Amino acid sequence: MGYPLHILINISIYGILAVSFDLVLGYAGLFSVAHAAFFGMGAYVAALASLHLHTPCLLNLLLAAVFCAVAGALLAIPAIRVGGDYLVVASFGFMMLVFTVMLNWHEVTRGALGLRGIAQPSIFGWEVRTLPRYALLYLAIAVLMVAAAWRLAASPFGRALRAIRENQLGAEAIGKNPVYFKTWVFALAGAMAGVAGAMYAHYVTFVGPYGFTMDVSVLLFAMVILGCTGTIVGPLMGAVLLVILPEAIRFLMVPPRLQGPVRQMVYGLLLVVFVLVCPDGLYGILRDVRAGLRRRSAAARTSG
Amino acid sequence: MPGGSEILLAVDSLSKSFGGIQAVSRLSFTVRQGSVVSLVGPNGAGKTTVFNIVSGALKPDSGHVHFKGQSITRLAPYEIARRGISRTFQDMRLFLGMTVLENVLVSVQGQVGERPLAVFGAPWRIRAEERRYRDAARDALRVVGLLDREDVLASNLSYGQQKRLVIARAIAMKAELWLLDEPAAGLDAAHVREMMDLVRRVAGLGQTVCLVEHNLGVVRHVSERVLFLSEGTLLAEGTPEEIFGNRDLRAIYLGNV
Repeated sequence: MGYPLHILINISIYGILAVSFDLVLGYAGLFSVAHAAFFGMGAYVAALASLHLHTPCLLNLLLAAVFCAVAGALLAIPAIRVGGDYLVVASFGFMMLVFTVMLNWHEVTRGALGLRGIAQPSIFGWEVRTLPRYALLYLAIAVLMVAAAWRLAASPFGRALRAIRENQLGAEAIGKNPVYFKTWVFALAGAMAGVAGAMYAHYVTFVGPYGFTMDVSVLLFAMVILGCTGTIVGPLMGAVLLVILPEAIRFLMVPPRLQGPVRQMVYGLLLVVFVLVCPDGLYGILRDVRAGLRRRSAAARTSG
Repeated sequence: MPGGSEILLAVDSLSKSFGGIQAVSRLSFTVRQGSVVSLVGPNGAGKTTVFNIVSGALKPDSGHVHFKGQSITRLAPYEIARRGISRTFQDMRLFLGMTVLENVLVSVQGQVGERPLAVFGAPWRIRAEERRYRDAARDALRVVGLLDREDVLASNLSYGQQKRLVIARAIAMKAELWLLDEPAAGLDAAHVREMMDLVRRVAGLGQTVCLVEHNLGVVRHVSERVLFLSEGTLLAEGTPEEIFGNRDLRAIYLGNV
């Protein structure tokens, strides 16, 4: 029972990350590699609050969200100025900055040693120590976050984001302020990633800088692109796939030493295959399957 | 034709140069409410530059632009759009990955649902507003004849349909002044007639329109006043008959110098 629950917990955390990243990459069209930085900052904020202030888990989630919202708004300032291809570089710089702080600010982060002994969640006396309780709590939070992302994406705010992505000058000509929208999307998506980070901290009870590197950003890219950008549901499916996949690879009788490289090869292969064969990703597959089912039931009705 | 006497747009002594080229040179003109004015002139006369300056995409080297009595010279393009100026582009700048209806919906001004805090704080209000916006968007689509295509992706429309979608966006914006940049360009004769009738129809409802056009038939058909620009200056101003009847202006336009 433990193993599937662990996967469910990971899906909850990465589901929030993928869906929030879709807002940035898919809806706003901002090619940022900095999302893992918000994941990390959220984790560290929650860890530090838990260890030094002994604040409860839910409050730490809120603190992480607020901290990362501000950080996101700050990243937006240079990011909006440069735009386009240079945004990748600016977000890369931001990642490096955050990683360097995590690794070197020994007094606060204990550098490479990381922070351990983070308290496990306790929600008004309900102690979360076992996997089933973790799964229940984290799934509930994930549902909330995904619903919020969906709400944003489907709102006029999301529509304006898409317009800016499609044609920024055209969007300005109909009165949309790109700075406003891009700042908000970085802040909100960053906040959600921060919540995921705080969840991670309270689950693993240990945070270290090497858990929040470029590899995580690339993984999020893969989740969103394989799922299909700009659909929310797609990236969620991408998160499920890419959380389950490494576990599945483990069963492939691959020697432990090779599991890391094999995983990377499978990711790469998936990306290539998907781009060539299903450019609309998992969302496209879902959509086609549903359309196929509808056609079949319509045919059955007319012939029956 | 309704002709309000108020001056809606006042361009005063605009100058703009790019490197060594003086695109616009001490240009002044006004557009009165409810009128239809066309800017004509040979290529390079500065017509699109004037539009770019008025809509905020470019800042002039000197001079001012006043809209409804207020200076808009230093405002950003999105601020100017919000003040009530709808500018269309020669390359249309449609949102190709979005549907026809979405293209028009997103053009509606003052949407509370564009503020993230309102999305979470007042979802019911946004739902109610969305219904109103949808009706307004459909009205705009009906005027340009695209209502039956509302769920089609903008990229899947024909060129003529895309040009009509551009007008639908302007209608949905409820902008007091339209700056139409070559609305008839690239259209065949039938579609040009359609476009002219569309512009005349909205003008008849009191819309103030300023056009840049090379198609003189369109200019003659829709405009009350024509401003003839050449090499960045205003050479002449008058009715279409006066301008096109002038042999010297025709020579400049056709390049027979």
